[in-house]
Amino acid sequence: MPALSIVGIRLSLFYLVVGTTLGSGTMLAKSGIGPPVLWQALAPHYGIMMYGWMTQFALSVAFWMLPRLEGGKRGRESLFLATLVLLNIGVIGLSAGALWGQVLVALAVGSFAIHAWPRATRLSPAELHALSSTKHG
Amino acid sequence: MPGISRLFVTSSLFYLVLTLAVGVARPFAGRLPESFAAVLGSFPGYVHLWAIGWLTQLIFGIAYWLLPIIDKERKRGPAWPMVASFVCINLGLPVRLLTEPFLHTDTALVVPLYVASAGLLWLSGVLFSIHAWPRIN
Repeated sequence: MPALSIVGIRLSLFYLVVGTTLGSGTMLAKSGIGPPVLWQALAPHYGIMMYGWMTQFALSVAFWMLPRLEGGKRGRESLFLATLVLLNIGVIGLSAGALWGQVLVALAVGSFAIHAWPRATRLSPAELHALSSTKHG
Repeated sequence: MPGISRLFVTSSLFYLVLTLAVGVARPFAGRLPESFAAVLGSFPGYVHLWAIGWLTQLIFGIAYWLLPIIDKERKRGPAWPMVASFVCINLGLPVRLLTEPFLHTDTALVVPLYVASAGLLWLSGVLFSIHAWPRIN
């Protein structure tokens, strides 16, 4: 597994634990057992679970598993590094209820899309050969 | 695919169908008896049916299957955290869905069950992280 995927997946597991803790906190507040101040964990719970955990886990696994380009390379890895940086700063912003958090998360996903596009759309020589033999056969 | 992954993926598909069915039924909740209407009409319940029942379980199941093994001897590591995580989700989520709408009506029985479901859902995330962490390499 590439180093950037290791970093992304470990961060996503960290966010999973933090996010479920905040979610349980809001449930305690809702039940009346926990102090009402725990309600304030609702917005961070949402941002952390949606983007810190699920999105970051999915993108990190995709960076690892999408088909590689010629020479076994994963393409522009700096774009995925930018994805991780923007996403994690964005999640902090979202947790604070800031609009810039949402903007950074959107930029992170855009950066990943630019990185992944050639890996997801370019056909390997074997696939091209199979396609041409289907057309001419 | 290992048995634990099959369990998670099968359960996630069940919850996907259930989420879609609840989504179709929600507009008609007012025509049903009060208790059914309260469960069907709960928006947090609907969101978590999708986010935990479907998406989280799908991620957990596929991750158990596809993440790298720890090493040749330990392979995927001990299975008990994943089995326990599965039990926690599939006990905690239904209990949460069935108790949340009645928190302010029958607190003697409902609140302890609701708090227990919060603990179970928290534990499911922690157990998955404990299992997955050494496999991120």
